[in-house]
Formats: sequence, C-alpha cells, structure tokens
Amino acid sequence: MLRKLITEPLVHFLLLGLGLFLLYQLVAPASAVDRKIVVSDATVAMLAQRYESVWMRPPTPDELRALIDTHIREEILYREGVALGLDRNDPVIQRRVLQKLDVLTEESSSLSAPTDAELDAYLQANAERYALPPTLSFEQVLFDPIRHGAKLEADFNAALTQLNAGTDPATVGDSTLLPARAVSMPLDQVARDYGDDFAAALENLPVGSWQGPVRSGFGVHIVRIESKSAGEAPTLAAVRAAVERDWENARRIEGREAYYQGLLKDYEIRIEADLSAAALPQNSAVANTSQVRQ
Amino acid sequence: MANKQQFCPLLFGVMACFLAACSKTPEAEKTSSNDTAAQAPSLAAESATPAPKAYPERVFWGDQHVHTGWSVDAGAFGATLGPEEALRFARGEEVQSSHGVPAKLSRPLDWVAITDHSDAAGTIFEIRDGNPALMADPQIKTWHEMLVAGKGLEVASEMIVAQSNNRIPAPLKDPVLAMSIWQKNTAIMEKYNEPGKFTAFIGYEWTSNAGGGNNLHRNVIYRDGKDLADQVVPMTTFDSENPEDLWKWLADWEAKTGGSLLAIPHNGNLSNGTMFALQTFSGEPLTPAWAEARARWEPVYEVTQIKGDGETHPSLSPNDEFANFERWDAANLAGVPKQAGMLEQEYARRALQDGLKLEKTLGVNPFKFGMVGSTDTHTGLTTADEDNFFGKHSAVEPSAERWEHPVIQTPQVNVTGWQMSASGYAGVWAVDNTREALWDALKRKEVYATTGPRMTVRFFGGWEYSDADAEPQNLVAAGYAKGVPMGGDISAAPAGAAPVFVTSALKDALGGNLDRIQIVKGWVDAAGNLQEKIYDVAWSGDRKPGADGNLPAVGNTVDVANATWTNSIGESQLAAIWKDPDFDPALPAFYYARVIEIPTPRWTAYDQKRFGIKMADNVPMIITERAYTSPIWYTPK
Repeated sequence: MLRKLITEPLVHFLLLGLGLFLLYQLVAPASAVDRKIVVSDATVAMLAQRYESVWMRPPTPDELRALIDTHIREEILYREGVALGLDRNDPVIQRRVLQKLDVLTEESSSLSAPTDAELDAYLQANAERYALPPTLSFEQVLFDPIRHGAKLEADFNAALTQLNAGTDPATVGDSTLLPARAVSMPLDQVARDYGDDFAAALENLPVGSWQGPVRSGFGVHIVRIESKSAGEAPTLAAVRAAVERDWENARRIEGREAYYQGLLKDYEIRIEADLSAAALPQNSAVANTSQVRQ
Repeated sequence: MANKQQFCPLLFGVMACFLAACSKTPEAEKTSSNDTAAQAPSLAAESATPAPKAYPERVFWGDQHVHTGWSVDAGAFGATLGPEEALRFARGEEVQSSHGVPAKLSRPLDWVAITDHSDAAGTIFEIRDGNPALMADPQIKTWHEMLVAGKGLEVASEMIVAQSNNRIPAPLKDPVLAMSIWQKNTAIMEKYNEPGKFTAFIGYEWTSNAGGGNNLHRNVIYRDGKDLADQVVPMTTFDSENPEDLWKWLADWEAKTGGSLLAIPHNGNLSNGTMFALQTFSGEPLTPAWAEARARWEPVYEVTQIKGDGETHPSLSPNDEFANFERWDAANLAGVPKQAGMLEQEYARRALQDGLKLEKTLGVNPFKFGMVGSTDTHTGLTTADEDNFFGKHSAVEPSAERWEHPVIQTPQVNVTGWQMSASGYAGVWAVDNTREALWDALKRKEVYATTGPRMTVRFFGGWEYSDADAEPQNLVAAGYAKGVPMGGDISAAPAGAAPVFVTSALKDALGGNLDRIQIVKGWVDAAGNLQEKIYDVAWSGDRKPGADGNLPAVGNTVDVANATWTNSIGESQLAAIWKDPDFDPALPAFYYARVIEIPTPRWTAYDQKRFGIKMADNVPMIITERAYTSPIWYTPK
C-alpha cells in the first residue's frame, strides 16, 4: 500500500506500462498508435527551456541530446501505454487531473478584488473570528500537588493569607520554570501555555488581590491579576489582510462547489448498488449519499 | 523563604545537587519583582513595548513536513484537503477531514511548512501573466486574453481539444494542461504567513526513492518569500535522485536569487543503509567537498515522525533501555527487506558518531545536524497527539479498522496500521515568530524534537556554569551568557576542566509528567571506536540508582481500558547541572539531552476505547513520549 506512497508515481506507472506493453506485444497485433515522432525546433526549445527552469542554465549539447533521447523514449512508451488504456481508472492520474481542474476553477473565480463593503460585511458576519482577545498582566505562584501531598490545602491556604498580607511572592510557593509574571499576555496565549481551564479562570478573576486555587496542568496556582484589557472588535483596517484572505477562501470554496453543481445538473446519476447490503467503512461519506440524482 | 518547596534534580557523577528551593537568591527575587520580559524564562509574556530580545524566550511549535491532497500520492489515498485547509488546521481552526469528520488541534501551532512533493512546472500562469516569449503565438495570445477575462475553464477545454487534435502551439508542448501549481502554492503560503503571529514557510519535498524505495527524501525550506521562490522551479526526482544534485540545485538557487535555503532529510530507517552511508551516492569515497556540502545544506535531521523513530536502534545501542521505541526497521519504503549492515547507516545517534570519525579524515563533519520532529502526514492534518491522531494518510484516518490495515505489504514484509507513530513536532528557539527568525534558528540548530508533547526543553553547554546558574530563575540568562545553547559548539577546554551542561524541562501543560532528563554522550575513542554513554541527570521522586547504575523505572498509571493516566508520578519540571565525569580533552564528542515522560496511553489505546474494539495482543497500548535536543559538540583545539 505504501508502495503507492512513493512519489513520482508516474515512474511506476511508466514501468508498469512498459511491462504491460511487452506482454501486449506477445499476445496482440499491432495497434493503431501514431508511430511518427517529430522532434521540431519547438520541441527542442521546450526541452531546453524546461531544463533551464530547474537548473538555472541551458543544457550542454550532450545534455540536450540526452534530453531528446529521453523525450523520444518517453513519448513512445507513453503513447503505447495510453493506447493500452493505462491512463484510465488510475487514481493517481485522476487526482492530478482533478487538481488541475480545481486550480483552474479557482483561478477563474478569483480575478476580481473584493470591495470594502464586501469585506466589511464579511467581517461583521464573522466578528468573533477577528475579535482581538483580552490581554492580562498577572503574577502567579505554583503549588505542585505531588510535593505537598496531604498538606497541599493547608500550605496553599497559608500562602494565600501571606500573599494578601503583603509577603513577597518570590518567597512563597514552589520553585518553577514558569515565569512569575506575565505582561499584557493575550488570553489565547495564556490558554496555549497553561491550558483552556486556567485561561478561562483567569478571565473571571478580580483585579488586584491574590486569588486561588486556579488549576493548570502544572499544579495549583495562586494568581494576582494586575490589569486586564477587554477584548475588542477590530476595524477592517486593522485586520484587512486576514479578512481578505478568508473572504477569498470562502469564495474559492463557493466557486468550486458552484462549478460542480453546474456540471452535476447535466449528469444523470443512478446508484444501483444495494447500499444497505454493502460493507461500508465507518465514517464513510458514501453512506450519506444514497440517493439518485437527476 | 523557609517554606519554599524544592524540586531536587538528582545528579549523576560529580555533580552537587543544586536546589532551586531554599535558594531563591536576592538576585532571583529582584528578577521576579522587577520583571522585564527579556529576563523571564521560557514562557515569557509579550511586553507592550518590547525591547530587542537578547536571546529566544519562547519556543515556537511547528511541523516542517505536511502533505495535502496536492501531493498526488496523498490525493490518491483520498485526501481532499488542500494547502489552505492544512494551514487553517495548523493555525488552530476546525476543518473537515477528508472523511468529513471535524478536526481541530488541542492548541494552534506557531508555524508550519506545507511540503507537497515537488512538481513539474508549467506555463498556464505565464500565459495569464502575458509572458512576452509566449505572446508571439496568436493562439496563446487569445488564451491570455481569455484568462485575463476570467475564462480559465474555456481556455482549459480549448487546450484539451487542441491537445487531442495535436494542434497545441509549439511553445506549450508541455503536458496536457501546463500550469504552475508551484506558483499557486507560494501564493497561498504568502496569504497565510503573518509575521509575529503565524509563520507559513514556503517549502517542498524532494522525494528520492533511489534504488527501488530507499528513502532519501529531503524537505526544502525557504527563508524567503514568493518573489524569490517563484524564480526557479523546484527540483524533482525526475531531474535527479541524487542528493548531491539537490545540494547543487540549492547552491545554484542561492547564487541566482540571493535568498537562503536548507534541506531536512527524514526516515533514514527506511533507506536500507543509504541515508548516512559512508560513501557517495555513486559509491565513491567521501571527500571534504562532499562533507562540506552535506553539513552546509542539511543542518537539521527529522528524527521522529509517523513512520517511526530514528534516534537509535536497540541493536546499535544495546545498553539504552529507551532505545526500543516506535521501530520501523523491517524494510525500505518499497518493502525491500533490510540486510545485515544497513541499520548502522540509518539512525541519528550513530550518524553523529560517524560524523566525528569522518571529521578526523575529511577535516569536516558531514553529519553535524540538529534534531526536529514532524509528522509527514499525508492528510493535510498535522496531528501528533495520541488522543487526536489522524494517521499517515486518508486511508488510515480514525476508524475501527485502521489499526490492522496494511501500510507496507510485500511478500516478505508487512507493516500494519498500528505501527504508525503519533509523532512528532519541532520546537524552535527563536527571537520572533517570523520566517527569518525561525529559519535562522533551524540553520543554527537551536531546535529540538518531540514525539508530540509540547515540553519546554533548555540545554546549554560551557565551562563555567555554577550551581546557581541552574536554578530556574537564572538558567536561561546564565545559559546564554556563559556558554552555548543546543546546536552550538564548545572548544578550547581550560586546563584540567570538563564541560558543564545545564538543562531544564517543563512538562506540556496538557501532557504527562516527566520521568527524567538524560544526557546522551557520543564520542570516538583513542583507538577509533565509536562510543556512547547515557547519563541520568535529573529525575522525579527520591529514586536511587541501583548497583548497576540504572535508575528504577518511574512506574505506570495507565488504565488501558479507559485510555487514561494520572500525573500522580513524575514531576511537572526537572532541571540539572551536570559535568562530564569521563571527559578526555583530546577526544571530540557530542552531547544532547533526552527528556522522558511518564508512560501514557498510546493512540491505539484511545482507538480501542473510542471504537469499542479489541486489538491483537502484540499491539502496544502505552508509550513513553520524549524529546531530543540538538547536540552540543566539543571539538579539541
């Protein structure tokens, strides 16, 4: 299975084609393959240009001769392979064609730039995605439950009392690689470093006093919020690049779907298989499309 | 002060135990009360008015190896996600997997490189952009005008008809529908790259399977943007399967564009003895120029990923109790079985040793590389978490059956789905989250690999560290001030001195506790023999090494049936200062840190629970996740 994963599958394809071609020569008469290959100036120029596009210099005469030999060889094998129908029902070739069509469809639909009004409407409709997160400045002291064992609660409460009586936080709690203080940290960054629960708890703590317990993956914290700024909805000017990118992405997906739906209308689809009897893998998309489309 | 709890890094060898606890010095207090962002350790917050940073304060997490449906092999396996979906997923957004399942990371990544297989280029964008060389042809000029008018599909169908009637204009004799997927790709990366917030590298994979499946793959990572990347078509293995030609291509590219590239190899374990071979691709003896080129272009190796771990192998490191880990050691990528002598040229630790030996004869160490992890996913979904693993390719996305699906299947060799490893990520110590800063960190090897968990790991080496330097409050500033970080070099040993290393590890906020930090030393002895030794330098609890020097196992809390564990063993952080007790200043050596987590459920245990199935008895259900730092090299003067 992973053999297919080896890339440049066309190499395999060609090798397979060669094998089948030889086999076919043994059992079948000559086919109607076009057996004339003309290496024109244009062909040579194309080969040379393609070489230069990779190697950043023109091929030497010897290299060019080798390119031409390879071209002839591949052209012959390719024609014979296609004549055998080896390009059909091949998922790799099919994917490549689909990819090209996708790119073309997208390129065709993305030529006009969005207006400010379109972007602003998109921003309003997806406001939460662009909202600037609240930022927090806070100090924290850590207690590792393993180190404190049964004394955790007592140690913790004593420390909380000390801190609110003005004790230097550097002298309280466990030594930690975590920073003692964070300045203007976006809430999503707090969540990344400490976990979602910790970030959510901090968002709701009052400003000024030491509070706890607040739990994280590192242990139990006492936290003092020094200041916080509310999140805010940004202006289009502030997030224009992101909105434009997402707007284009949405249009790309819509365009691709519209193109497909347009084609689908002209096809008659008939699913004759008995899907209830088929052994379908879990999560299979096929299971959701058991209908006849006209 | 008195109730300050200590975490005690237990030290091996000559070390005095430094205790963070009772020793919060006046300096340390000053640091924490007069905070500046520049002095805070690894998780420093962003300051409102940031001063230029003296050194990297934050580790940036990423994956430099992601394939999407645009890699033809991935597409053939049913991946429908393209680069845009893969980028959105890496940034933390929810996307639909190729099977229609909603997929989302537990936390966003900071950066990613989408490395679809390099691809033959074409010309349709040049038609659209009006390449003057092509416009001389009236047919092409018409198509150009149609493309500009947004009629791409009509152009496509006209081109197909022309092709089948053999009426394609000569300049376009390039395949069916010539188009530059590459330029489309770079345009997408440009849109999603947001300096300071999220980095999208331009990159591609050069996928050499020379000799019938010997994995010599390299990811090419661009420091620069689209304007430079578009100037030259990526190299493909149609052009050459020889890595030396890739290096030449990289050099030519830099000379032409003035930009910067590097290449990251992976999966030596599937190379059947060729990834770190002691001869050239064509079988010639290695030369100084060869060694120079390899060291220059390949500063980093991808040491762990879905297709197995590549740090070392039990047969190469028989005394390493953690060596038998996520092994894929039966065959190459095409299922050609491995033969005696191949393993020796496939694994990172042995290659680092060979590099020291080669340096003696060549004058240059060709295998002087740092280490990163990445996924090599072919789903577009960069997942390395055991409880959120979308597999190698879309045929093995989560399902009740994927554990028993064949991955490599030949008459001699079977690799089965359960052998996939939910690994890994790359931690990058950079001063900023930009292409330039991250790329520079890769180039100087200030990076490390993990098998998925986002542990924060520091590793410094020098001659002058004192116990106080290894306290958490001081470790980073002292680490940089008195020595070099991971990936660096030390030399000029003072008379009678031995190198000293300071290291720390903080657990992943969402992950398992830490079992221990080890320092792995490799060297070539005076007789020319390769040597390695592993030192436990910090560990959890009050375990004592046995008579054999081995530390007792940390224990195990995994409940396989429920796919759960508890952090009731291990520690949330470890740190240590360690001086090499066996140092010989005449012998070159390398040192890297390995951080071991407590046992946690493997992805197979989560699948078994999630789908209510029972896998075969030989399927492992428990994993010890880990991190490997880039080495620090000692070279005698």
